[in-house]
Amino acid sequence: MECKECTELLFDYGDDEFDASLKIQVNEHLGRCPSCQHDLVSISSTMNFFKINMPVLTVDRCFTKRVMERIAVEETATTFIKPMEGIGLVLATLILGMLVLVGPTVISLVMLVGTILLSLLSTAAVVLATFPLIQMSSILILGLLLLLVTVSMRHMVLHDSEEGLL
Amino acid sequence: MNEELAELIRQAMTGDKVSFGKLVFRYKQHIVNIAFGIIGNPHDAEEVAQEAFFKAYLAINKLTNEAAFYRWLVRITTNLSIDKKKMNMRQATESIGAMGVGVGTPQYMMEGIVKQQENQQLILNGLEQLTVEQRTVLVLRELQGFSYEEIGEILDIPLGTVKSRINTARLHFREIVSRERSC
Repeated sequence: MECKECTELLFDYGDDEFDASLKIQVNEHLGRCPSCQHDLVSISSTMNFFKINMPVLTVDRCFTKRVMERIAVEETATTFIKPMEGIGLVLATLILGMLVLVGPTVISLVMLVGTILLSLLSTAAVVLATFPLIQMSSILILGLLLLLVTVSMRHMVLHDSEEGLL
Repeated sequence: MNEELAELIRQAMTGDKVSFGKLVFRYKQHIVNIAFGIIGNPHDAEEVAQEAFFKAYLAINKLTNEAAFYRWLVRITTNLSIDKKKMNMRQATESIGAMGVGVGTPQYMMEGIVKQQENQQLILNGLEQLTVEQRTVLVLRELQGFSYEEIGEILDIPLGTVKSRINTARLHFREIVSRERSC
């Protein structure tokens, strides 16, 4: 066995899972190689140093209590939320059911009103087209109203500017 | 696993809170220290340990084999700790200095503070320089004594990856510690 191969195996060497036949080969190599021996000692001592000196946290006695309290809070919330979820689900189902049942009626009502309004508009056009006197009268009334509005506005504007000059 | 413990786990699996409380009491020290090894901060470690027990309680009815309870609990803890550590690293809120404060925090009662404080600091600094994956396998193998196979199951990685990761972690850790000690 060469040093390179041995070095790669040294990390596993200390493990109880290390293959027995390989261990014999590594032992043979270690017996005649001071450099690999030094490596093995170095790895083992580092890992021992790690195990011995790794700080150990000691949790206080309230830890278990805090965990159990959190569980209790979660359970209380769940027991409250679950019925609420049920009620919400029932209400949503009811609303959907109502919409499904009432929906067609509402839609047909809206369509009926729309049709009536459209027919009323066309009726007015028919009336105006049929009776020219009404058509003329309405044009005359519209023209008079327009004139009245224009005169009133002119008067207001002139009156305001005169007051401003004074 | 002795019969008493198996019975305790079985009862907890049925939703018995008292039994679960006994399990928390029994394993709290191990779980907190696994989290501490991975995160490197006592406060975060305790929070993660609490969260791990909480998650375990919520999902314990899905556990099929009581013999796997501890490994399953460690798996939850490890995953939470890795996430926490990665989050801390992203936020860059945790520094070696902050960790030093944790080591000396009296409320956590580190064992042998006075004599070993320097060595402890050296270990923590060394761990801090490893990747999260490396420190996780090192903690599970060297401190908790899990077998390679168990580590593979806990981390959900192949055996070959476990071995190479542990070796890299050991090598890297040795280099760091040697360098720091020679300073």
